[in-house]
Amino acid sequence: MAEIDSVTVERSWYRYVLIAAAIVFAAVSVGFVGTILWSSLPTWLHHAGTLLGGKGWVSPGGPFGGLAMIVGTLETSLIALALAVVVGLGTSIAIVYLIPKRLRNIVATFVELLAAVPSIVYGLWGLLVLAPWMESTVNPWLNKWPFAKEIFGSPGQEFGTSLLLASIVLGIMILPTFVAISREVISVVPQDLVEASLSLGATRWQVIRGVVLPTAKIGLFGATFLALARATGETVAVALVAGGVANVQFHLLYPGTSIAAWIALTFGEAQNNEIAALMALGVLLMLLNFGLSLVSRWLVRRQRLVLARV
Amino acid sequence: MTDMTELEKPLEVGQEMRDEIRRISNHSRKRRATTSRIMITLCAVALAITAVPLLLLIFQLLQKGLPVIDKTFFTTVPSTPSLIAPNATGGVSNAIVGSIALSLYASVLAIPLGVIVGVYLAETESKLASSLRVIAQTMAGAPSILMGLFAFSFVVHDLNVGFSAIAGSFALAVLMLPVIVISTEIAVRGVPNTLREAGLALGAKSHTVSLRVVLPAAVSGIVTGAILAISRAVGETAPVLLTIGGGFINSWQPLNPVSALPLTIFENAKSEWPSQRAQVWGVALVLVAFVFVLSLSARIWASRKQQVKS
Repeated sequence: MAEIDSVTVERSWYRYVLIAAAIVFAAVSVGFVGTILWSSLPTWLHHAGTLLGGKGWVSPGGPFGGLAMIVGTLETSLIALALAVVVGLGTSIAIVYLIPKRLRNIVATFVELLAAVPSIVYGLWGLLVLAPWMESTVNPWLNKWPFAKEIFGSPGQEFGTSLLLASIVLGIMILPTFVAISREVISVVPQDLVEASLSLGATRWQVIRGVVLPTAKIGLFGATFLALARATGETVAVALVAGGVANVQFHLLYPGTSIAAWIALTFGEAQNNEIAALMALGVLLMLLNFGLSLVSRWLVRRQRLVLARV
Repeated sequence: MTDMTELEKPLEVGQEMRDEIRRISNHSRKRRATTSRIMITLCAVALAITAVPLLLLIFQLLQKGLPVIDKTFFTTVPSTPSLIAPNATGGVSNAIVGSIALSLYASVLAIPLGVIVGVYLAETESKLASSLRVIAQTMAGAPSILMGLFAFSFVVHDLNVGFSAIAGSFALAVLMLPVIVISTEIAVRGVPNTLREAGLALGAKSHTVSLRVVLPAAVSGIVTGAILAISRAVGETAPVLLTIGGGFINSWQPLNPVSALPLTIFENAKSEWPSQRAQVWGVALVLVAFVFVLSLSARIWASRKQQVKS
């Protein structure tokens, strides 16, 4: 490319316009990270321990402990991920290998459209449809299981809006995202491999488990991390259905919150120190998200390398 | 996860598969067929589990949204229900005007800059270009609440503009920017090099080739990316929640507070008035319709232009 470039983009006003735009873009991204870091500085300097380890969040004076939000983010997004990956993997396999070819494109387009539905709509649906249903039907049913009290909380005290509902809504939301990528990863597994093992007498499932999934493995991990990044950053849906209570909570039918949801819920009333603490929560969310998206992109790149060699 | 050395040995995959196939042949045929049937059925069940909640969501959105949409829904501003008039919700024209104004200003801020940066990334190989590419990809996946924190700190607070349409548009523009950069780069890279070389061979200056040959050839991809970015921005709640302030009047003024469709949903979903909770379904339906029309038109635009080219 280097030789072509020196020819195509010579020194002219055009090149300066391009470089100026690139510098503005770089400045915006530096400003993006820098401003949030700068605004959170008072908290990191004076109350870092409280933010990372403290359990209570007392508006407006403090202390502002972030443990409940950190734990809540991990709980809801990991449960959501488990739900979405199990169901999503089956769905992708079904779309690629079970559905007739003519329907496949329609289903794929439909899934991608659903990935574009704004998250607030999922949150609204969770709050006005699923929450009452959880309260009347699902919660009493769940409490009949063994260890229900330890996992879900005491019967009779559970709520419609809860960490479990937040996880379910998150799971439904990230499902289209996960399926859109994993379907693509599975569908580019070379047909030769599939046909070779079919011709050796393998059943359809053996082909999928023994050939398709191992070949697509790394790409599927990439899709998983991307879905996890989505789930951890989701804001308004969780704010509506998680209950919005800042307690470190391991009983899944009790209300809780997540980092992003807590920022959305409390920011409107917040003043000085509380704003800085919320910005510091934002920094934690940023670190988590950037880390996850880095890993997912690295995995997707490796999947391409693997496919290039098969 | 495997390390890099495994990638260097492409035979490894073949070996694994050979072992698997050998293992397969040792099983009894009947048992294999049964396992296969069960697992394939489970995949079909997974597809159903994916489809049911999502279809239910769309169905209930139509069922509950359509009845509350009438002429006043679009033409009047909201009013607060009272004990005397519990059904006096008014319309949501303020939110519709606000959403249109926000996406308009955000597009003006983000699209020209994003397109130029995308062209820069496609036409130059430099350290700056490759790091900007990584930044764009990372920012494209960043949680939208962070754009809200950034816009609040920088525009609302530091620049002292206050809660306003321009602060919200800034947040949405930061959200749209990386999406536009990435899609523009892909579109420009997709233009065949022969076109560029033909232009240069005719003695055209590099910027003439870029502006008159490459950009017109890439325009469909660029437009598609921009429309998708707008459709994502218009549905985002978290960034506008922290920046636009809300309000009950129709306002196009960049420096005044505005409302938006997603903000109205977030605020009224927990309303104590049943009439307002019912109206929220209409708002959600309008929002989803808006997003679907945008992303479907982007899709149709992209596929039609592709057919013209081929």
